[in-house]
Amino acid sequence: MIAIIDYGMGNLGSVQKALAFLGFESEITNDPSTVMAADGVVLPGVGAIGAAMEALNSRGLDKVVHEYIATGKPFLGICLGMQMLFDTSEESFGGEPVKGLSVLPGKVVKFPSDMGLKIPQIGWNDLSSRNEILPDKEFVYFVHSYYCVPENEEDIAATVTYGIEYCCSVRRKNVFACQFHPEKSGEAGLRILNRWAKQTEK
Amino acid sequence: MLSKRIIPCLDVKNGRVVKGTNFIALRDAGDPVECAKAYNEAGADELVFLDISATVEGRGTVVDMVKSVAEQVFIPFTVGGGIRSLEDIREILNAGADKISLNSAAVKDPELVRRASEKFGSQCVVVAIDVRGRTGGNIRIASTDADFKGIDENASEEDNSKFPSGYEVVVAGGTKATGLDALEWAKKVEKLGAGEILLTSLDRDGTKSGFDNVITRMIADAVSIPVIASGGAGKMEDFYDGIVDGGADAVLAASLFHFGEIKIEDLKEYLEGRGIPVRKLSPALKLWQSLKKDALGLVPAIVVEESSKDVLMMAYMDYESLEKTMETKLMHYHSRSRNSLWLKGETSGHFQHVKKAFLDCDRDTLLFYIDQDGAACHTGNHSCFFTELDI
Repeated sequence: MIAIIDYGMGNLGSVQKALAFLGFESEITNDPSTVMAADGVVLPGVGAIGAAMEALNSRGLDKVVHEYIATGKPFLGICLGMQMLFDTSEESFGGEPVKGLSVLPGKVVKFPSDMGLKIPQIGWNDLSSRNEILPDKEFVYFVHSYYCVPENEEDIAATVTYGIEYCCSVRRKNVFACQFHPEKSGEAGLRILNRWAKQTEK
Repeated sequence: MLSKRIIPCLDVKNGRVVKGTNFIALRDAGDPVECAKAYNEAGADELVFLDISATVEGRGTVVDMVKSVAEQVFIPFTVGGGIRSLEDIREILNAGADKISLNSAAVKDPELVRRASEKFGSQCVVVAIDVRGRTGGNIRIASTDADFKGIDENASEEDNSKFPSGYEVVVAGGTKATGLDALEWAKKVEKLGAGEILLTSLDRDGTKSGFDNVITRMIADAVSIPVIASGGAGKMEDFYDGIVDGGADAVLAASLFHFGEIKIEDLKEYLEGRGIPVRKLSPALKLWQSLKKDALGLVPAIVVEESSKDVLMMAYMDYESLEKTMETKLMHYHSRSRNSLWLKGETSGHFQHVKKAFLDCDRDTLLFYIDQDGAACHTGNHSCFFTELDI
């Protein structure tokens, strides 16, 4: 069973529906013991990172995420769920930069406003993959204004170019995360989810 | 590079797609799920469902429709039409839509845009803006809509000066003028938290004379959120112009796609040929997407020796094995016993070199003609079918 962490923000149904379509059972939950017992965990998220971190912390789910990751079982962060894995985000919340989970060293920054490009980036962009889970040059769906800057080059699983080339997926041991939405990236996204979810069967 | 999005719009009435009767070879062209799947396979980047039900009962079917679509189709989709309140929005989003679009409700109560984006995030709030040109100076193709009484054709210059962009926002399918300048309204909805603008020229809608690239460009340049151009596309060039001249981030059409007058695949080829970035699937993904899979998500493959035409074996493929087979021209399968990728010949040295491949009429079985190294069967027999039955 795959646990999709519910911290009270956003629509988590899409991830669950995509997993169900692929034949994987999942449960949307905020119960620590359910999360810890799961064979795989998804941390999804849309919206503002400050509110999301606050919601996660207030439910004690920040600790649960750390404890779960320490078990070595597969973990997947999607969109905001990737950004939250880093140390800090420059996305302001009450005037302060937001502290993340510090699962991976690095920060989250906003797209430069002088690129002459629309912010947020909305739509399909093609991956430059450095990892076997991610198909190279395949298009996936993005919606975001902030992006992750990992400190460790070796954590980067894929990059993408929107004005600048930046990291859009990370992988370190059992932690895998992507800025794009595999659950909304058509067949390409389903293949990525499937490859990740298969690891939960082992 | 970020690709330009091609978005078919489906009009839905009482839970059924209307205007779609000539659409591809669907069993049920009125079924929103069937249509959504077909568009997904055709390469649509997103979908917009516009509910045009006139009755409360009709509207009630939308939530069910959204649920069914969300279980089967995994590209973003927007639902618009008749959404009036945060409660309506919550219901549609919870059912599985990625975005909602607000049109007249936003004009009536602009704060709804703010409340919706604060509550659910800007990314799911599309504001649909319908416009008409005020004067002839602005490529006005003139209203062919006899009922349209919204804008006074003989308006004085002073009246028109209230519309610096030359375009007025209209609602109720263009039957009501709002007094709002199109450009000012677009800037305002961005400030209120809209994540995207769906801009429809009602002067152009249905005319097949191309998008109104004047107002599209004006708005696209003035806001930092993406603008979807709609209304008027009739030929492939119109989409190119909408993107290049209009500065649109995405282009939308309805009947043009439904009636198969333009195929999304052809349109993407055309745009790509003219230097517009578009999303295309890799050949392996495209093929895999079009196949009918069994309950385990696999597709059987029959293997025939090219030289002897002997049937050698049957095995199953998943996406990984199909992709590897296409990439290496060596048969790969999905081993059901080991639940893993299996390169035929990896341990035995009995590789299978692909010569030709066919797809059966139901798209649920693959046929490969190959050159076999050694024996195909693990028993050492030439073919796995060496046991003759008495029948």
